[in-house]
Amino acid sequence: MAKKKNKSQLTFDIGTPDEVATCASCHPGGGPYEYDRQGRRMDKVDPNTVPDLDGDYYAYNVDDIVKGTLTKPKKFDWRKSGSLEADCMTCHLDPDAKRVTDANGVKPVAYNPRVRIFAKRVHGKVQAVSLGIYPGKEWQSAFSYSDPLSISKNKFEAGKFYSDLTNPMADARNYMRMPYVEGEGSHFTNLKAKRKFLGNFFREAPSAGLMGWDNNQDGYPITYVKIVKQKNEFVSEVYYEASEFDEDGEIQIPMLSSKASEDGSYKWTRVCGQCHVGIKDPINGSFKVRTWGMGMKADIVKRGAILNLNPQTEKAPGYDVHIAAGLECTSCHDRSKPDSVDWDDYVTDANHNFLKGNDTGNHVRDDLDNNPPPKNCYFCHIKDGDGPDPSDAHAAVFGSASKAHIDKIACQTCHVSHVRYWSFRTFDYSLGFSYNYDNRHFPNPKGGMMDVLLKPYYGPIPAYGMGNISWLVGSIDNDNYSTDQLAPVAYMDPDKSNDMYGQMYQHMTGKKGFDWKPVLIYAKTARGEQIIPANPITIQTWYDKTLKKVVYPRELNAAVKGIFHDKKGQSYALLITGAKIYDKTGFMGHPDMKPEISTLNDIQKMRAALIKVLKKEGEKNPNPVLFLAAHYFKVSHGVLPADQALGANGTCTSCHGENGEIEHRVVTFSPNSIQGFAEGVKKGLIYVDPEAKYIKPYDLDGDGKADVLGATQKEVLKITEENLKESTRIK
Amino acid sequence: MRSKFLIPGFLLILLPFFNVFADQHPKIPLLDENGDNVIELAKQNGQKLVINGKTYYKGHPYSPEQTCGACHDYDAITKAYHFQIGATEVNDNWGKKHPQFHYDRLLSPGQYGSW
Repeated sequence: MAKKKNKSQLTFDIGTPDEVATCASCHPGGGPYEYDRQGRRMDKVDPNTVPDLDGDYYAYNVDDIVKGTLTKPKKFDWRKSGSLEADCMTCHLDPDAKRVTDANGVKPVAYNPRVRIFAKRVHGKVQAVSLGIYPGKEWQSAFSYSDPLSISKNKFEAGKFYSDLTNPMADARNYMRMPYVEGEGSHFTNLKAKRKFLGNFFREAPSAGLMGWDNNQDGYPITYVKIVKQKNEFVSEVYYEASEFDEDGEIQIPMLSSKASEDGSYKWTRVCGQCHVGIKDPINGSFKVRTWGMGMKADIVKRGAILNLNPQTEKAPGYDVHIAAGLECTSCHDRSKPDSVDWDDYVTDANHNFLKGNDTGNHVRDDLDNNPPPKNCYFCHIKDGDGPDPSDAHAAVFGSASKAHIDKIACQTCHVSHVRYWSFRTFDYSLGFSYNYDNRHFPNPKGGMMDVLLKPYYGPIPAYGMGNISWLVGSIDNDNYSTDQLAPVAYMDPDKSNDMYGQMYQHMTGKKGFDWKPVLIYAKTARGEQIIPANPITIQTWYDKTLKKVVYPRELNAAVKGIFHDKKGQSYALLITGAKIYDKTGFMGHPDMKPEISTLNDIQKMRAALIKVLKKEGEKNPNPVLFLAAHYFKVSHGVLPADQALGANGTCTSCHGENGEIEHRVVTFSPNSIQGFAEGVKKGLIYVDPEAKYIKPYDLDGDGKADVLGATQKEVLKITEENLKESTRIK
Repeated sequence: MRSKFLIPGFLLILLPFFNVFADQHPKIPLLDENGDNVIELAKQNGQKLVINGKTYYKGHPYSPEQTCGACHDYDAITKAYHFQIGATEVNDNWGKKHPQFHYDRLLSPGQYGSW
């Protein structure tokens, strides 16, 4: 994020416009997406009065970032885009009432539905885009590579409305914040796919969000949004269906208020789940983050959170005892209406600061942490709630150790023993976005590049491309060691047996689906300092010691020309210096075709390229070093039945003893080790964040070669306890 | 477990209907950024599309701030952390003032400012 005041682009990462374009897929608007850091509505500010390089009014666009632009950012036209207002309908439009029904009988969600995006092209150049409604035969899919109309099972009839449930790029509101078409425009590195961005339409995004709402149930949404080319730019058009409104131009909104809870509909859980967790839609059966794809539900990527509203077994992914008992997100996180306030008064300006605990991964409004706490395990089961008190049952099994454990260990530590969905573990940006799988031309396991594009994986970020990201998919537990099983994200589709990458994953792992164990750490909870389960998200990138900044993605991308394959089929990253960094590691012994930094020589090569980049930007003495950090995200949901808890066998061996979690486990932070790691740290070529200072190479299988960067569970507990005491001391 | 889960099944079936009536929101106009009724203004402007017999009028984008803010305290509601995501604390020198987070470049402790 760029500062408000900047002297040069050397301190300019991304501006507020980029933040809105990227992050508004979940964030509802309002606040900094509407008002600048001086409290002025951004689309009302005269651009001529804006200082040079103001972080709220300058931006690098997507192409700039991916291509590695080193020149100054451009002034952003907020008056054209509009500010992004907070859209109350995101949460308050009843998710079930008055959904539109498309031409195929499908009912997408009421707010922000996935609609088919059509494009009209002349000589291959897009002239107009239509959301949802198919205007006629001269129109094709906007996503000509990844989602052409020809692969649809359905025929398209002019004038009818179509949803597109499996395309995460096609959420109507989200599309408008950064719309693009495939088949023209920019292409990156050595890949074939092209994409063209049409602008940012923040002002129109809420109107597009209403395209799942059909108030008069005539099969057409209340709003219809188009983007059309006028001269050399694209502009948007919003239409309203007249018959949806009454004679006074008013409309009855099916409103979801905070009173609607625990009625068996899980409406609030589904509303919160739009951004936080994966949930299957009970009406159309779609899973907005596909079970085999990726998505940006915040708590999936941090901690593998999905909620199964209709589980077949207690070991089904997403099973949660409290969801099974009918509780909603609001059951615990709602800030209850004070008895002294009348409902009619309360609903007009209700306090929207929902009850929250505290997460170790970020520190937004720490003053609200557990103030008051959400209705957590302790509140309902021991202190004050209606949940059964487990104290006697625990004492009966564990005897005198029971109380000490309940005091020192948060309930979820034992009762969220497994997570059965993927999460992220490692973000490796040390070779920039060079993999660029968002172009979706992947290396073909049979050789060369795939000719067809996979459907977009990373919906909410349609353009940036990504680094080398590893999923946390399972656990490996054998006589020699226990550790986490990580898998390269881009190359597989683990739940889908007819996908070649899915087949590869299943062949290599012998597994289908996911099942991993959280890491145990010390952290602050509502009850003090306790052991809790967590997922350490690990970052590997570059840090410039001179400017004390993490090197920006556009700078990393400027250092790498792309990923190429030599005559032997070996993958390598080609740097701007001409140096090559080869793929030397793989997934479970198989080459993964993703080059990575795994030696000190690799570090020196990329460092030289980055020095060249930073000098080109005007920095006199750049000093980029490889940077490692890890932040823990708590795993607090997905509570399992007692018979799946740690210690369910009535003994202490789940955690203690030779094969217990504490003694036996190595936590994998990065699936690739770096030869000469200690020497690199000593020489200052590698900088490890103080919070994660224990990360080092581990030889798991005893063959004399380090396999991963990790730490033992015991070390993690020791140092997180020390870090906690240190952070308490500083505060 | 909570006693409210012990509601007899036949009442659970009726509960959603009670909620519908209990939560009935008054009819409202959708307003644009200027506070004008979008459909009224669109009809006056008269640019329309007829799609399969459905008449759509071209109008201004609807503004949640104007539409909902007519009765609800939009400013107060959007001060909540879900909307601000760190912006209430954003400052060019935030990182320097909070050395325990290790990084001078951080502008806030949240998404907006540290991402």
